[in-house]
Amino acid sequence: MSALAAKGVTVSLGGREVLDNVDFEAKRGEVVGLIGPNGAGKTTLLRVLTGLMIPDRGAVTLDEIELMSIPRVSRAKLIAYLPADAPVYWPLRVDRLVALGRIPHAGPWSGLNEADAEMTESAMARTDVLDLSSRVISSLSNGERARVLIARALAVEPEVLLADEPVSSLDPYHQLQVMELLQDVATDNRIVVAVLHDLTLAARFCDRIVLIHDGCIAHHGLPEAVLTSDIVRSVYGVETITASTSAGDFVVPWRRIDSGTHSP
Amino acid sequence: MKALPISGTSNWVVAGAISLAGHVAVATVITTLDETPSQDELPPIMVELVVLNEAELEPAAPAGEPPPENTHIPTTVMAMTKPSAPRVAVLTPNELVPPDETARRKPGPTSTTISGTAPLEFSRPHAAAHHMPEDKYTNVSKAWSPLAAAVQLGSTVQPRQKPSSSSPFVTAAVAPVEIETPQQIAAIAPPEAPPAEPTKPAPLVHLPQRKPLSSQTEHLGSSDITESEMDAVSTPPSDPSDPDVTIASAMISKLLDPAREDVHMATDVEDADPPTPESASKRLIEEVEQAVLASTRPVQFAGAIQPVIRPPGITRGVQVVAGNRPPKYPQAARRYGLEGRVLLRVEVDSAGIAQRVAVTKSSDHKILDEAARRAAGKWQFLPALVGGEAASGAIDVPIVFRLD
Repeated sequence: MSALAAKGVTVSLGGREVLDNVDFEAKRGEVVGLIGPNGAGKTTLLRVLTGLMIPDRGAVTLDEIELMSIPRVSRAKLIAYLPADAPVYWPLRVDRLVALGRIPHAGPWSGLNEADAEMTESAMARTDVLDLSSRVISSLSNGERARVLIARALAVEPEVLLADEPVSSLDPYHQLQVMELLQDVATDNRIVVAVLHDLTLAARFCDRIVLIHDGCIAHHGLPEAVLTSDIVRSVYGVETITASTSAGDFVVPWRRIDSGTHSP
Repeated sequence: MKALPISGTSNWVVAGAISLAGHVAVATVITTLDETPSQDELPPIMVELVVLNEAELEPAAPAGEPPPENTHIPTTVMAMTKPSAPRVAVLTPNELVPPDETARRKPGPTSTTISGTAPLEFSRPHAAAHHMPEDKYTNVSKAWSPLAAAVQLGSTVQPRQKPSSSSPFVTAAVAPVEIETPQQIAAIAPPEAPPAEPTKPAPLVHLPQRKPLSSQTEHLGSSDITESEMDAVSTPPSDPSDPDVTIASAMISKLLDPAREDVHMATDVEDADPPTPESASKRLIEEVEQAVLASTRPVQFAGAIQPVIRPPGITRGVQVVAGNRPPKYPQAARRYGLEGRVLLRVEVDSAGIAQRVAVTKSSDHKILDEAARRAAGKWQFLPALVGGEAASGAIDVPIVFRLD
């Protein structure tokens, strides 16, 4: 039974149908990789799944309960959304910023308690930003800032973690760290959906891949079933180098089909 | 109205209460002064700031104009003004001073606070702006009853242009009967009703019969009722054909102020005991009971369990048996903070077995509706009795799912 499901979701933006009758599902305990070319509708689908965007048609359910019927406070506790390149408008200290993830759990008139502080610290430790705790967010590099924002999302302790390009600005070390983190979150009977552009990371760390193309689900299934050379070529327009090793599969985009250039 | 000094020796205590119900927002600021006023000109003791939506800001219709057709405050909720425990408190500044001082006071700012089982407060800025009459009963009821209804019911009830004398007391007492377990359901299920007479259907609310009903209504129409109460009686209620509501309303008005000695309900004229506040209250409670009984049509609880099928000759409606297992709060609904109220209609056969359970009003959460429906389908019921024989019937069962 799908825990998070979208049925017949259609969204139009600026006169263009960004999502067209999309069905999506994610189960507890799995990491679902949402991949596709730019403008395919990945972020829009993610926003619909969070409840931040109301689709023109279709509905999203969580454990068969319509998402929008869940009270906002409950939704804030249940779902954490990590936007791509999320702006931070205030020069907050890192520890204060991460603690904002605990706000949905605090009472309306009460502050954060000791348990909240522990959870905040734990989230910072998992993303390796404890040494940045007294720094101001605006003084951090893009990669550091991205990890701080991931820590804030983890501090929510969400049932559903929706991350939009969580590793796009990270160095290889922290890319692997964050992907392991997403896997770790999912194993705790939670749902993780991540928009990814790195096909090798998607192939290695995701339990299922959903490939969106032109507002539709073009392919979905196990990574090895979706990330084939033919599918990648038809959807992305690139040739790939793929290989299966004992450590896992990798998919490396190698050249554009219409580029006219040749690889060595 | 005298302008209130904001500074100086005055000691200000400001309390703010904001209540949101439906689309009505009300803010009340209560200001008290410690300076001693003169007897001739008591300073206003309450200042109200009212924020209403546009509908409530419409000017009141001139007196005598019938209420608009779209204004409907169900008279059936009359039964919710339970005689044993009035939950309505209607206060005006006039009531905060002894009655003899009230006559000497200049018309000051008026305030109306209605509290039922759910917190509710609202106020109005100034009587003159709305031509509020002096009488403390009529002014409240004429000017603010529709708003009271809208606030309390949390509904889209339109404010009544033409004031009604009966609705403030009635509607303010309307509170959903919340039921979380079948035991509670059984506890508030209407007890066995007296056998129905052909010309007078038995009320669904059982109240002790004390006097012939006809004499009650005659007494209430007598000259012992003060002008304000006569006004209350004579003002057409939401259902002009229903005199019982206005009669009961007049008595509830009296019930709210037992110490008011210039109002006599004149029903227990043979009572030899000297009147005391307690006995006066008790007597008034009985009056209300009688008024409810005097109804020529069934009076229904709003939100309470009630038999819905009453064939002629029925001697008992369907009842829920105590000890039925309450609905389980679905785990997902608990986790996701879903709450709501489901209204079920259970059709029960002559053996007391539920034959059909239908959701007549959804909680807006399918998971809660189903949990309620499943539970009620397994309940035991006491079947209806018609002429002493068990018969099939139906009962409305409201179930409230609420998280602590």
